[in-house]
Amino acid sequence: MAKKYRIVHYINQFYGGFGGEDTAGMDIVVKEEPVGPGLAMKNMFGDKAEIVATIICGDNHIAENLETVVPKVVEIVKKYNPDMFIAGPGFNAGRYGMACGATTAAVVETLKIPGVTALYAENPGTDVYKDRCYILKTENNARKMREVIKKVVDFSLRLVSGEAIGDGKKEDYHGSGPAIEIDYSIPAPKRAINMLLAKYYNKSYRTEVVMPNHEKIPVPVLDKPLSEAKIALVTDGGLVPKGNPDNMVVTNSTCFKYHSIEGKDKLSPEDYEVRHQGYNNAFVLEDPNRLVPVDAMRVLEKEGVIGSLFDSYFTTAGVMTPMEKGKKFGEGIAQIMKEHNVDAAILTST
Amino acid sequence: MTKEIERAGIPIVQVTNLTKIAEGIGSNRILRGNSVLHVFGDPSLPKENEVAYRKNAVKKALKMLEEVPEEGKSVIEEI
Repeated sequence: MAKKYRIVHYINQFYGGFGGEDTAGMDIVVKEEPVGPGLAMKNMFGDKAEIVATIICGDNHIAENLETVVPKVVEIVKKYNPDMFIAGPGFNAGRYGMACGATTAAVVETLKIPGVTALYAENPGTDVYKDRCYILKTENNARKMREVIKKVVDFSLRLVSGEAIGDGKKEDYHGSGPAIEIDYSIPAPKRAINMLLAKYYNKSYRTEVVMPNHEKIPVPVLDKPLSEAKIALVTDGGLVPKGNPDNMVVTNSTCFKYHSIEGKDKLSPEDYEVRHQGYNNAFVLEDPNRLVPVDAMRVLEKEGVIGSLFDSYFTTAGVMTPMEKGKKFGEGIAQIMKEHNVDAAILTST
Repeated sequence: MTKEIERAGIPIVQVTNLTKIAEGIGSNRILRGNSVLHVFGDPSLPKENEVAYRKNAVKKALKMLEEVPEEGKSVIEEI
């Protein structure tokens, strides 16, 4: 028979059957059996896993004393030597959500066992802990409790058996999940090969380069005909005027710049150079319009396809540049565009 | 950068060959370029033809600016 995984479950006083706000100050109580939502989990786990202990704590008690109570929870979890930890689901309950996130993150990081919880996007616990542990997405209320429990159970079984877990978008969890621990004593090529093999065999592995889950921004709409619009050109391909007057760096950019193209029908190779160490620059050096298509835009401007071309192009080098810097550049570029009534933009990325 | 420019309400099309990254970041309008090395170019073409090619590619990008992608879904097109 396959191994039956041992699970410790954390819930609050309400789901533990101790009452509501009146008992929210209660200290930790441990029951060596499934309780509340754990009972539904028990049925779904069948003979694959069992909840060996349920830790119940008052929401106020833990949320007001995270520094002292969370380590106690971790100690109790450790005592049961489980294969994994589950907290909640906590939906949109703020204090409970903080407790779910804090305990799951602490268990995962301290005991090095997998853990999962489930919360609503706007639960304060989600924002604080989403990049330290898996927090599956739920709605803001417990109406779909059964479905959420099913989701937690399915995810838990995959997680505990070492199955590959995809990114948050694919797996429906918030943020980037548990923090990635990189063992630098193993050289990068070896880590890469191990990762590749794990991927090939559909085993669990974690990327060392996390793509931040994208934030939803309403799609801007062009509010006038193209033939009246002022269009700007932007590039992260590092095209700068010959001589690099702003001393632009070739990697880990610290700024963006914009340079006038007023009166130019095209960009001439003798006027430009590339400051970007991330790609072979030869083709752009031969013809900068391949990166910043001024020649084509001028033709379209003359033909009346576009209203006008903004008389400067924006540039930086997008190599090893942290996301935060990119955001800052974007903000700065957007502000200048606004000041000059730019209606839309084309950005080339190398 | 694309996201921040969008946040300011300015429609933008990102022309790149690393479309997975653009999509991962959440760019709404993505046009696959000719190559990472020459996004808006095709060095295999004679000079005049390459300019015509580029004009066509830019037109494609401009057309994407006019269209409104479905909310939450990146539109990825080819030149």
